[in-house]
Amino acid sequence: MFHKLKVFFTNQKLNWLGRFAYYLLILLLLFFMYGFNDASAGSYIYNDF
Amino acid sequence: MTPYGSFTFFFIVAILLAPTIILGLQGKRFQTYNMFVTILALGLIFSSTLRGAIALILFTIWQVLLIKSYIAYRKKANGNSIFYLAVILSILPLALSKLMPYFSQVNLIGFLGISYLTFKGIQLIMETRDGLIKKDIPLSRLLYFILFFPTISSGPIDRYRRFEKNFQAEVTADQYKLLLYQGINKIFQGFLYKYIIGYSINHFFIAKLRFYAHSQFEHQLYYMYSYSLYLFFDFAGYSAFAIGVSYIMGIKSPENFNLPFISRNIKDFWNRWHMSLSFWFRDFVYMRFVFWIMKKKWIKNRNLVSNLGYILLFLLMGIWHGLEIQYILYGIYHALLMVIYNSFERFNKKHKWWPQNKFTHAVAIIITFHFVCFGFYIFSGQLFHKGV
Repeated sequence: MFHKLKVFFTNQKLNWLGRFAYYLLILLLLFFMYGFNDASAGSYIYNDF
Repeated sequence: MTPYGSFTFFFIVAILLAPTIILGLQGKRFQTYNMFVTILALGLIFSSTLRGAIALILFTIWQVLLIKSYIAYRKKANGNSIFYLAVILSILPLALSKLMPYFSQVNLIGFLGISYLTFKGIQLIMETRDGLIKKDIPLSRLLYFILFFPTISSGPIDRYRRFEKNFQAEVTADQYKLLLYQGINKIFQGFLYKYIIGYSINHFFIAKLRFYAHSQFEHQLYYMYSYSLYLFFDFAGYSAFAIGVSYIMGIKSPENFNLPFISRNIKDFWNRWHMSLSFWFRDFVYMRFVFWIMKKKWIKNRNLVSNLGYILLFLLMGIWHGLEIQYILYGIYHALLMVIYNSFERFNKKHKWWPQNKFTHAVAIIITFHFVCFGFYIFSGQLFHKGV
């Protein structure tokens, strides 16, 4: 069972699909949150130091 | 323009780094082109503030003269007073820029990234003193290391010898493909952390806390945890961008975070949070202090020396953040936590009071998390005045 799961999760195609979905989700979220405007996520806290 | 502060910045960097990527994928050298990119990017970052640009140029000349002179001196002699003088002179601009706001309306010395450039300068002087840097560093490489634009504003703080290895390495097309993949992955992680999670915590929760909290205590409690998470996602997001762009430029800048909120004690936390800074303080403040005291035999109790080292380290780290009360208290708080944990660790080694198993491990993570969040609550300044 464990071996089957291991094979399943190390499957290269599945890995590629997972990565693709992860990147696409981030891009979609960015688009929904900011649209075509330039970002205004605020400055970085540690830039002050 | 703030590094990684807008989509425009990423767009410009992508255009600037397109030749690097093409050269890298063909297995050709690209570091000379990257130096040219660094000059352009610095121009872009400091274009909005002429005062900042002038301060950066003067600061760089100052540090380069110091480092070059010290390397030349170290080849002939190894006097203590010259070493101390070189370190003090290297810190001087940063110290003045921290003090200046208390005396003047305009900070003529400070600029974005002054702290992180100073850390690199001091590191070069100290490693030269230790004999780790023996040969003269070519001016172009020294400037490239100090001014490396992906990490200029807030680190991570790289080490020269590590940087040089990457700089001189012959990267094959396959090796570069992996670097590019890792770099892109990091940049996406940065977008997720800073632009999605960090922004959402700040915009949808912290800014609207008065609607969620029913009492002052509840407000402060929610603020403490949400600010801690916001600080993490903000800074880890920045670090992911900086590391990602560095990788695309063939430089493996060190990691800054390693799941800090699953730390099982405060010592573990400082091995996971702002790692490049805590390792810098460990190597150049704590270790030196402990070694110096032991060598002079002023204090023979090793545990006391270690605790004094922690107090010095965290006080300096607190003061480095600023001379405001919240940063000094933040330093004292972490120094106290470290000293208490040190004593507890010794006690536990002898009495086996806290067993090592999965349950105690989970409990230790939860306890550490709350103590760490309280530290960030002090750091935020919310205790003393209206926070971020």
